[in-house]
Amino acid sequence: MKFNIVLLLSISLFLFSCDRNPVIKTELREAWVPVYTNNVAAIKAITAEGARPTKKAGKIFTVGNLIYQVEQDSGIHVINYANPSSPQKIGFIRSFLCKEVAVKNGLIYTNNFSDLVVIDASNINTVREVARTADVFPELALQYPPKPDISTVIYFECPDPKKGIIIGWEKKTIDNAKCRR
Amino acid sequence: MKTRLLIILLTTVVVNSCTKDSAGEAAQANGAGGSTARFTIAGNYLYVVDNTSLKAFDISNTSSAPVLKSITDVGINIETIFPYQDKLFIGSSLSMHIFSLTNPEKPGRLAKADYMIRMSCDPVVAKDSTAYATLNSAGPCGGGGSQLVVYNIKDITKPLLQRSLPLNAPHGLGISDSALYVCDGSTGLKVYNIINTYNPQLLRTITGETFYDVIPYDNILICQVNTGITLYDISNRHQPVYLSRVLN
Repeated sequence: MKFNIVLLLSISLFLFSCDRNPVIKTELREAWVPVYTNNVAAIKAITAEGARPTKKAGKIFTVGNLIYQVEQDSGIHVINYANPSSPQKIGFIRSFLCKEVAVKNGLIYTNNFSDLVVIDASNINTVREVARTADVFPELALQYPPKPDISTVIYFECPDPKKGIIIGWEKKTIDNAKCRR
Repeated sequence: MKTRLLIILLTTVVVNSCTKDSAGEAAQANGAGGSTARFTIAGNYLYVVDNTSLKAFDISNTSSAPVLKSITDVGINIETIFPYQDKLFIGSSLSMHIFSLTNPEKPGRLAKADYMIRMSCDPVVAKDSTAYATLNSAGPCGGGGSQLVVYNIKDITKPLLQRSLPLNAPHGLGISDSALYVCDGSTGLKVYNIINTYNPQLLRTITGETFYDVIPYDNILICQVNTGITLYDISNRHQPVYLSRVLN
């Protein structure tokens, strides 16, 4: 019985070691390392850019003759399909970590990193950020590296807010992967 | 200088003519999104789902930031939100959740239907007294076999499972009149006849693309595919005809 309790306690400790109290033994292993930036302005910039190839096709929204398609993680393609036999890309709106898009009354609602932003794109060549609400999408803040599936345990270098904002994760072989999930 | 002025004038004419064209589609002036979205607009509100909750934002003042009105706990692994009439259909890995928009500032829970299989990604769409969801067992969601499930929602508080049909790698889905379009990943786009709403009949599978989501919009079916977008004419709802793809 006592042994069981000890076992249970050690398992709990082990499980908690993830975020709270990193006590994982350091050894050389393949793990995720945060990519930091201190250039917050670049991340928050909402800009109009020229039409470009689609690489990671994302979610879609349509209104009138326009389709808005997310380019995953970088922005929104604007497509005119007034002639549905020959749809044309007419522009691109850059928004870092873009995943979502909806449009109402000529205003585009999307995410910029973990913020909700409202964009006036009535002129596709000079888009303008109208409003921003911070941290509406907390899960997009990239505190953790991506998990390939629920059961796989991944190791990573614990984030250090002093180093800046995490804008991505790189796989490296390191000896200080003290966090896991 | 003169040339520049001319260009500006011409651009204005072109832009104006586009606006006029789109006015013809007043029936869908509010636009439409896919079934796999994490946020949606209904009336003057923007509804956002994160992993566990539903947030309602008032967006009636278009010159200032959306105003958070409520946060409602929904469940776990929430992934999709789809508006239909005065309701929100929310897909999670375990259940279909239905919320009422009678009070749009604070959506109220109407029902929760647990799936027989667990750990699936599952967009939901609805029409009249029927709700359709796809359950995907592939990828990060794991477990079980992929399915199309059909619920009777005549009593919105008690969804009744009517049928489940096998699929391979489903993602988004959409309804137009008596047609149900289901994106079955690389297997293709499946077209079902839903004249008999609880008993979808597979009519055809359109192959050659990996399909992720659809928006039926009047007579056009907009498909999100791995390469971008393809368009189909659905004047005959049961027989989509390929129109074009958006070129890079």
